[in-house]
Parts: sequence; structure tokens; C-alpha cells
Amino acid sequence: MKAFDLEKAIGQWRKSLQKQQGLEPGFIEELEANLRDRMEDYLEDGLTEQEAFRLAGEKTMPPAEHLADEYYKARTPGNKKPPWRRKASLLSKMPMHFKIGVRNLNKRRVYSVLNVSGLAVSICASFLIWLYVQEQESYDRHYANADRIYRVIFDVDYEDVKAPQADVGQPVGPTLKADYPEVVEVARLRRIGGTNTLASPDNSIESVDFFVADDQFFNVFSAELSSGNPETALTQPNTVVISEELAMKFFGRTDVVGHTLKYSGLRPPMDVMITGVMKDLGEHTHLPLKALISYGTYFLESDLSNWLRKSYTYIMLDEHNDIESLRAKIPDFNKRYLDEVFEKIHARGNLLFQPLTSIYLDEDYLGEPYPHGNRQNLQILTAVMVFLLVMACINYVNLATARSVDRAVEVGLRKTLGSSRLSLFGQFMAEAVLLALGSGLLAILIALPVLPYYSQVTGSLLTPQSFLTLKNIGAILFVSVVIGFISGTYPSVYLTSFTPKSILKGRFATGKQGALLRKSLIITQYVLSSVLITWILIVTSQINYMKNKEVGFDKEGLIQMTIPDDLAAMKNVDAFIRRVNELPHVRAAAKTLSDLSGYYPGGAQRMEGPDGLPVSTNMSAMTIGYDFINTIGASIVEGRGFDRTLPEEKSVLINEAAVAAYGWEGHELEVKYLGLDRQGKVTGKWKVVGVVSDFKPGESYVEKGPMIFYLDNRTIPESNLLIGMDSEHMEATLLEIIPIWEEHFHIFPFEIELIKEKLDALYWREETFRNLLTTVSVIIVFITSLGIIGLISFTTEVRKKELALRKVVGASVKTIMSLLSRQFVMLLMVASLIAVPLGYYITDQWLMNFPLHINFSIWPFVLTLGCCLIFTVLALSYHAFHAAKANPVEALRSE
Amino acid sequence: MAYKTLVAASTKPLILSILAHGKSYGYQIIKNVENLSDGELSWTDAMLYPVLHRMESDGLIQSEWVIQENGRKRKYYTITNKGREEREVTRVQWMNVNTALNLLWGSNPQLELG
Repeated sequence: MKAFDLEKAIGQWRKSLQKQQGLEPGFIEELEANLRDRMEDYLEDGLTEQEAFRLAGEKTMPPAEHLADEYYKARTPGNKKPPWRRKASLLSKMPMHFKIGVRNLNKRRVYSVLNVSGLAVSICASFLIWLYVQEQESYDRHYANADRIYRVIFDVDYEDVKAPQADVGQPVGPTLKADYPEVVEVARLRRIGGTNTLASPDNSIESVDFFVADDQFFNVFSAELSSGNPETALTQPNTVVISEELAMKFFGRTDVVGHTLKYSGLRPPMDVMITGVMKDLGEHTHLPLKALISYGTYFLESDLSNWLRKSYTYIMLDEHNDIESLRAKIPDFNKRYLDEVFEKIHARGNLLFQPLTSIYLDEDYLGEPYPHGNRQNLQILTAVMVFLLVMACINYVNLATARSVDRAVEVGLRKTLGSSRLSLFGQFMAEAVLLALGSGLLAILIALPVLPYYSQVTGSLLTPQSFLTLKNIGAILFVSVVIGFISGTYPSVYLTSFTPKSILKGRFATGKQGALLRKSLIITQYVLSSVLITWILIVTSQINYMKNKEVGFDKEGLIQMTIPDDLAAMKNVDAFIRRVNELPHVRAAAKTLSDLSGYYPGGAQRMEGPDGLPVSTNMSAMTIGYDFINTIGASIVEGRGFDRTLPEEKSVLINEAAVAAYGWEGHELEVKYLGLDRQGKVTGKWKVVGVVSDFKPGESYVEKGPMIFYLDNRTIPESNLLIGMDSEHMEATLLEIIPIWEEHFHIFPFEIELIKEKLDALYWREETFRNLLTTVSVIIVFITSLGIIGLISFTTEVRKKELALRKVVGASVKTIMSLLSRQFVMLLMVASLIAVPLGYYITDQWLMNFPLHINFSIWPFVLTLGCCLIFTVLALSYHAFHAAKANPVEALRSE
Repeated sequence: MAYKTLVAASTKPLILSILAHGKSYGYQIIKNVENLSDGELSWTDAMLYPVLHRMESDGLIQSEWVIQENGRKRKYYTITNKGREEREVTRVQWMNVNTALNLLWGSNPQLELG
């Protein structure tokens, strides 16, 4: 055992006291004297040194902290806690850190403004995007049992062409309910014609939102009636349930059950009695109905058993909601009911179930009542949102680390004075969080003036009142704080890693690593900005390309009207056409069952080739009246068109593409169309009497394909009437047509659609996408600019002395500017090397959606990079010029 | 052992009164108090030294380091004039309390009760 060394023990004892905050050297010496006095007494009593030390120590030294407390208490008036007893967590120091943070931010105003505005703009934009995505995903979720409601759709398969249809035959719903006990409710509804009109004696409202609905509607959709009985409201013919909004418009009040409105659509006006007023269904439903007209008003008993007479059909399942087991039973259902029906039209039909809540974002099927949202867009937007926030964080990291020179001395001094790294870390984090929080508040302020624009772009109304909810503000501030933490971490770690020795010796240089990181962040921003701008340019060109593409008919000079569903009016249609044909600038007018802006999938036909052998063909079919080809401005290149002067016209037309596709050149007019009966037996042969020049109805980005034209010149309600005219004289011609219309169809309003507008509207998705992309890139370019400005000001700051020296030894302003620019031009070059292939890949993928699309060209890339270059040079010039013009003495004199 | 509050209240008068008789140091003061009170007042070091420090900064006492023959240092305290005044004030106060208590514990305290 080692001998006890008293002096060493006392030395250790002293050291342990020295560690304690609040015990000053003088105190400890006095306590030591006391210890020794005490020990002396013990030694006199005959204790060993070791025991004496132990006992005296116990008396003299309670825990050192307690000792310090006593000194503090004796010294300090009041009941304050000594510093070493105060909480020392990061959190408790926050108020102080915030105070220092505010001072620091205030000291570097430009830096703070750059940083705060960048963050604020991206927080604001991402939040608005988030609101939009939330809103789009909330469609139809407000109905009770929304998860148990499904829409039944027809998946019709014409040989190999699949064409899912949004509506199904009348008996489908009731049969499903009768055959399968898990289907507890069924409702059917349908829009009759394009728009319908409801009128009170002093008000008339025309809308696409008036539907006929069966009496089960309220069993499936939990729409609330503010007056009227949902059980009986729609059971009788000539009754209607209207929304509160509509009731207010007509009557200025909502208790209007028993009143009568005039309903007119495809049929002449008739009286309908209001049997119920429902609470508005809200904006967020794929069926924003305003009025429900009872089923019996429109459908006859015989219609309801017709499998090809269609309605939108919704079913509700029981609590088990076992849609899969229902799906499994459908093949049997098809066999029992559908196969026979579809055989008549040479197709196969299958039933599919579409969950109510996903209808709005699913793709459009044939015959959708309203256009839909787009799930892909939402996914892109969500990605954009994340991406914006990442950009903002990148920017923060960039600007914060760029200030390292500035903060290094502070860090060195603080560390020398005893600050721990953790505490410094807390300080930097506090600054980051403070800055982010400030940005969050600014984001809210920025959002306010942007709201009207947001409402306009997204079509969903957002007012300051509905935006400034506690939930939204809370969410923004929460996200801000999170961003503060995320983006503050790296700079905080980086800035607190400096050793005081190297900094205070002045040997501090920005680490290579930090510079590399900053450069790669800037390159990332450059790349993203230029890819986005390129994408916008390409989307824009593609939209223009699609709108202006020559489609083989005269898009500009075509108007379309709907033939009224009224016997008297229908009798006048032919007379109307004759009169219109006499007008000077009218090319021709024609009836047609087809819509030029519609979708034309190929169909299967049996033809007989020139050699007399049957051929199966796949051609898009249009059913047209006399003069249609002439009306739309296409031409007959071979043979003749349909001839109204012949007593019996039993013929068809095909187009040039069909001739080319099936190798009928030279023998076009020997081809025949074979009419088949249900067993596939040939019942008749229609001669091909003419070949039509190629044209492309519907989307212009699909190649003109083989087409066949059938004649049907009957006047059919709801079918279309086309008038082709000289587009230069369109306005005058329309004015001439109006009186003729009124003369023939006086009770029906004159209503036209421009084919050009209808065709252009086919690209609304691309246009919305372009608008969104533009908004996003404006923000991203803004943020990138901030980042670049930040980096430029940092570089010039760091190199201030170097530049001054260069000037002293004779460098010109020009040399210095080119020296500074070189680095950024290099970064931009590297960025282009990444951006061009990446941009090419992305835009190429996007263009793949369009079979016919613009050719790849380097110009969008050149333009984009040119813009980036010009911006960078401009931003650089300011700083570089400033640095180059500065008096070198100023820079060299410091320190 | 005396009440904690009583100990706290009496510390200053006791120190001043001891030092009024001559200079002394911390450990000696503790021992004197212990002896005077028959061990009833046992001051801890942790209590005394901060109080001495405080009284010195209040100007009631003053201190000096004295190096002894064996080479050890010891801090001696002496009372200042201000300290003497303070001792007089506290003496009167304690005497008043003392007189009152003595009368009460005597055979015929003059009290008005009921």
C-alpha cells in the first residue's frame, strides 16, 4: 500500500474546488487554511494524517457546489439562483441566443434580406401548393360512407380497342342491387344534353349542373335537404330538387318547396315542381350538381330496361365494404346480362368499380360529366413542393457558410472565453431558427396578395379569411421552424468546428471542403433552374405546335350547334341548312352525329377489297350528313361525296390514309363495306364511292389515321349542326345567321361553339401544367439568383485583399472583373454540361406523351443558358465592379 | 441544536462581538462559538466563511493574510469602526429581546391579558 501523501491529497482537494464555478482563489486559500487548522486539532487528538484529512475534509467541504452556493448567497442580495444552478439546456438559453441572433442579423442586413426573402418565397409557394394538393385530394370525401361508394363503369372492348365509359346501361345498377346483397344502395343520374335551363317567371338560369336523378340519389349521397323529404322528393315525374344557392337566385329564400319552375333542355319547356331544397354540395365534388330533376321527367319506363341507354351509376356496399369479392362475381354478371347486349354491337363489355374518392383524380373516361383533376400533376406538384423547400434550405446553407469568414473570429473569441461548442452550436441554430421563423411570417404576408392569383390559376377560391386560419398559420410556422433546424444544422456544425488557435492567428482560410459544397449547391441550383426554364419553353412550343398544326380541315371557320330535342324544331333543320347555305361567305352546312373535337378510336370493320376478298380493317368511323366534307373544308380527292339527289344512297367514303394502309391505290372505288348481322352474316354491301383528303379530328398530336364515313342525314336530337364559313368574315356571317335561326327555332336560344376553341381546349391540361411550371420556375430562378448573389458577394469579400494587392501592382478594373467572372462562368459551364442532357431527358420523356411532337432543338437550351449567363454576369458586375473600383488602401489598411 | 433561523440571525452579532475583543481567524471563531454555547451552536465552515466574506465587503470587518512561523498562511479578521457601531446597534436590539424574555420568564411579569 502506498504511503499517504498529505500535500498531494490537499492538492487534489484544492483542484476539485477550483473546478467549481463561483469559488474564487482567495476563498479556496482561506478554506485550505481552515482545513489545516482543523487537521492540526485532529492530529493532536492522536489521529493519523490520513484520518485527520478525511475528517477535516468532511467538515470543511460539503459538496463544492453547495459551498459555492453559500458564498453566492452571502454575496448576492435577493433570492437569485447562482449561475451554476440555473438551467443550462439549449432551450433555456434560447431567449439569449435569439437576442444575439437578432443583433447579428441586423448587422448583416443584406445577407439577412437575401436569406429571409428566399426562404419566405419558397415557404409561401410550397404551402400554397400543399393547400392545392390537399384540396384536390379532398374531393368527394365529405360524403358519409364515401369509402363504400363506387361508380360503376363500362369497360367496353371493341375487338382490340378498349374504351372505358363513365356511364353504364340503365338496368346495371338495379340488377346489381337485386343480385348481390352486399350492394345496399344504387343511384343513377344523367345530364340531358349540353346545358339545361330552369326558369322562374322573372329569372332564367342556364347551366351544365342540372341532372336528372333517380329517387335513390339521397340514399347514396348524403346531401342534406333543408326542406322537402329525401325519400319522396324525386319519385314523381316533373319534380325537381334545387340547391340552396339556386333557390336564393330564383326566389331570394330557401323555403320554396311547392313552387314551380320551367325546365327546358332538349325538350320544349315544361313545368317542374320544387319538392326539395338541398344544401349546396360544395366545390369539392366531381359532381357539383345544382338541380336534380326526377328520373321520370325524362326517362320512360321502357328506357329503364335498355342496357344501352346509359346513366352514371353509383352503388354503396354494406359495412364489410368487400369490393374484391364483388369484383370476383362480375364475370358471372357479364355472362348473364352483358354478353348478349354487347354482341349486338360487336363488342365485349365488362363492369368495373371505381371508388368515389378517386374518381376526381382518375383519368377521364368516355362521357365524363365534368373534366377531372390530374393525379400526375399533383404528383409533379408535390415533388415541386419538396424541391422548393430543398432549394430554400440549400440557399440557406450556402449563404450561411459563405459568411464563415465573418463569423470565424467571433467563434474563435467565444471559444477562447470558454464557450463550449454545444453552446455555440445552439447560438447558430437559434439564428437559423429565428431567420426561418421570420421567413415564415413573411411568407404569410407574401401569400396574402398572391391569393387572388392562386384562386385564378387553381380555380379554387382562397380568401384571406379562409387562408389565415390558426391551423394554416400554425402549419407555416411549424414548417419554418423545421426548415430552420434542417438547414441550420450543417452551417452550425461547420462554423463551430473552427479551432480558436488557427482563427486568431489569422491563418483561417475557407476550407476546400466548404467551397466545394457551396459550388456544388450553386451548380445544383443552376441546373434545376435551367432545366425548368427549358421545360417551360418546350411545353409552350408543343402547345403552340398542337394548336396551330394543320389538321386537314378548316378549324378557324367552323361553328357547331346542337339540334334541339323538339319535334317542331327538328322539322325546320333542313330548311335552316338550306337558308344558311345561301349566305355569301358560308361554305356549307351539314348535320353530323360526330364531334370534330371528340375522341375517335379505331373501330373494326369488314371490308371487301378490290379482289373481292373480305378484309378486316381498323378505321375510325364518323357518321356524317350530306355536305359534311365540304363544310369542314376537306375535299374529295377521288370519286364523289354523298349525293343528296340520289334516291337511295347506299355507300360509304374512306380517306387517303385508309387507301394507303390497305393498299387499295388505283382501285379505291372497287372497295366495299360489308354490313354484318349478329351471326356475322353479310347482310348488305355498301360501295366506297369516294376518297376524302386526310384530316384529324380531336387531338392534333396523333397521326392522321384511316377513317371511314357513314351517311346519316336524319335529324336526330342532341346531334350536331356544323356550319363552315370564311373565317375572315365570321362575325358578319354570324350576324346573318342569327335571324335565320330565330325564324326557324324561335323558342331555342341561338347558341354556338367555335370548333377552334373546342380543339384548343383539348390542351387545357398542358396549359395548366405550363402555368404551374412557370410559377414554380419564377420562384426557383428567384431563389437561385439570391444564392448566386450571396456567393458572389462572399467571393469578392474574401478576396478583397488579394484584389487590392493586384490593383496596387497594376491590374486594371477589367482584369479584375474577368478574374472574378471566371469562377462563375466555370460553374455555369459545369451546370450546362449536366443541365443539357438532363433537360433533354426530361423533356423528351414528356414529349413522348404526344405521338406527334416538336423536334428536339438546341435553342431552348441555348436560350436558357444564355439567360443564366446574362443574369450571372449582371449580378457579378455590380460586386466585381465595386470591388475593382474600391480604393486598395481601404482593404489593405484593415488589421 | 439551535433553530436554524436563530443561528442565522445571531451569526453576525456573535462574529462582531468576538472580534470586538481582538483579531481572530475563521476556525478560531468557530471554536470560540462552540465553547461559548457549550456545543449548542456548531457552525459549519461552509456557513461561516461566506458570511465573513460578505461582512468584509460590507466594511464591518477587515482581513489580512498573516504568514506564520511554520510558513502557513492564515487570514485574520479585525473589526472596523463601522463594525463596532453595528455591534452596538445589534447589542441594543438583542438586549431588548433578552430583557423582555427575562421578565416574561420571571415571577411577576406585568401583563394585560384576557
